[in-house]
Amino acid sequence: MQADHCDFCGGNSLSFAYQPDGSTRGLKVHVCHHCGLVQSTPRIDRTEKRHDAAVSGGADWGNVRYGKGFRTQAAMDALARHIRFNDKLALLDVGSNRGRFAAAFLEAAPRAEVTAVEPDERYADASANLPRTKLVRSRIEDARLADESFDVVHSCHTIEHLAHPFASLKDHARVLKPGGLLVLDAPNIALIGGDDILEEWFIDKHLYHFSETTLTRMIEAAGFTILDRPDPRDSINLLIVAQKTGNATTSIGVDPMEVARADNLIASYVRNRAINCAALTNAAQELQDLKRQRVALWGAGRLFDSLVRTGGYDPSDLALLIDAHLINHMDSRHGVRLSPPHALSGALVDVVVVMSRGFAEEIVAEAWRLAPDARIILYADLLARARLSRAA
Amino acid sequence: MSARPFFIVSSGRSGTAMLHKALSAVAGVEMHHEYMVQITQPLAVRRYLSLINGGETARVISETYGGAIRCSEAQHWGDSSNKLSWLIPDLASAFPKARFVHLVRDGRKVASSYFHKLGGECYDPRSTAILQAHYDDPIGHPAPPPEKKYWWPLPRHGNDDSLPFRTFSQFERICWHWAELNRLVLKELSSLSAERTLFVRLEELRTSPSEVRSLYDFLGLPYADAAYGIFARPHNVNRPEDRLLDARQRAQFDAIAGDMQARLGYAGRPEYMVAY
Repeated sequence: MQADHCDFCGGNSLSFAYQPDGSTRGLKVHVCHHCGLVQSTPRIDRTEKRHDAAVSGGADWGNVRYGKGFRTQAAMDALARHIRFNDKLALLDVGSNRGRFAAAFLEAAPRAEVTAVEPDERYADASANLPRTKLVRSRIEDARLADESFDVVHSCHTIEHLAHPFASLKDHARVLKPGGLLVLDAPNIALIGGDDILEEWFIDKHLYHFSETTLTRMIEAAGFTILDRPDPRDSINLLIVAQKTGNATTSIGVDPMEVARADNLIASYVRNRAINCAALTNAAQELQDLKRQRVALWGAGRLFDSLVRTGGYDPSDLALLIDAHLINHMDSRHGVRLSPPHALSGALVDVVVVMSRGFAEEIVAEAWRLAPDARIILYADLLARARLSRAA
Repeated sequence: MSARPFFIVSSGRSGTAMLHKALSAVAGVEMHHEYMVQITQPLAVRRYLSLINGGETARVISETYGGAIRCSEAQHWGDSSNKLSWLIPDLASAFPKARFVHLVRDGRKVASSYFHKLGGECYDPRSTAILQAHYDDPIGHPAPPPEKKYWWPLPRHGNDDSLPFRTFSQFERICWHWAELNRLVLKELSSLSAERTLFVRLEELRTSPSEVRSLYDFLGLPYADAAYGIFARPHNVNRPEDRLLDARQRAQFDAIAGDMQARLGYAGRPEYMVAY
């Protein structure tokens, strides 16, 4: 398949939509004007050299790969609705990463056997040490797996990285036993429709950007029927459970509504992100004006990086920079040492700035527990005020 | 509100009457075709041309559709009408749970059918000129009566197609109408959540029971195989004749509506004859 053809429908109607900010691979985002699938080209399907753990708000996002661990429980809950864990089950874990899902599955299913496919040499060994587990150190496209050999295929935040996801989904159907289950989780492009979008969503590592419509259509066309559709309240992830039917489709029809939806969504993303990035200097100023108070900032990821690099925020006066997860992978961010959440207890901070969108609720609850007298400033409110003062 | 509303948005001559007939047969559905057309048709054109504001539009919708849906004894309340195509944001806002079906048909068949069968009430030169004069100067030229033949959308002032439209033939005006209506429907429906919208082609409803089933599933209606029979033949046939476009019409259609024809998935498909 040529890169100027849609990987799903095969049409040659890729229409340029957007140039990601700070792409180091020169990726450009296109909308297929036949089926509506959003995709980035050129399709780079190999990582020659992995760089050290880093986090960026731009397209060069970084290489920490810790996000999929957060999705283990959701996938297990979804599976529990359709399988009996006491059965003797064969699981294929595509992109097993640090083995967190495989470990949870093995614990829940005492007779299960796992095949974990993971090409990243930094993390593959984590799965190798699991019981009843065979590790395949390769990309899923290169793994030679037998026909009809698995009861469950699990793929979490992996499909968007593949050069040819439709072919991979058809291969998942091939290796599943008749009636076998696919549990697939992917980023939801609906997130970019929010008016608080700030970070570059079209990152270098993602070649495909799915909506519920395009992902469910692709899964069905690969030979599955959808059992569980994504939770409509979740604008971050598309978690789908599908069952193998074996009836793959070769002809993918035009979907003008999805095309229009994708075009509108990207246009709105570009508009909102430009406004928000411009407003970041105002947000940074508001935080800088707090310097006579003891300020803790919780969340050292992509939003924080944007605040520093785009908004010009100087974090050197922070009393604490907290991140419960990144601290396991790096010592500092923008010259400020990372601290764990419990450091907040007894730190006598006046203000806690919550730089998180998806986990804001949990962080606020924890911050209140650890620093009950501190004032909380939410990212959403900070940005809203910055937009207002910018507009004024 | 007692009934759950849904709206079939489409160009005319595209199967809205067929969907009306099919869905009327479903238990628990109160189905209409061009509900209160003498109110909705001028309303739709005025709204498109910004001759009426959102507040006034919302009031009329509330008094007509809102009242009908509120007073209905059915579980589902539907209207199948090309007039709705110009009112989608207002309807979506008035009825946040309403679902929308975008029904399309090969534009060549639509244009031919309008031109040959409804030429007297669709973009005839005199009625079009009267509405154009009113749009250009609403005070100097009062609005025509709410009669069907007068109220067809015109290009908005300042749009690229505004001046060429004034030189168009009746057939070309019909082509513009089909393309602009579908452009607007795609634009407006694409801003709603995906679970509120469905895109269907008349040709596929007529040939594929699974398409009909998908439509019923989307609307939350029970599907029985017998329902498909209604889709297999034409409805609202005022004259059982079909004409292919001639070479000149084909060129005019391609120039004005060719892009939309491709966008809707009809590129490369041969023009077909309707069997009565």
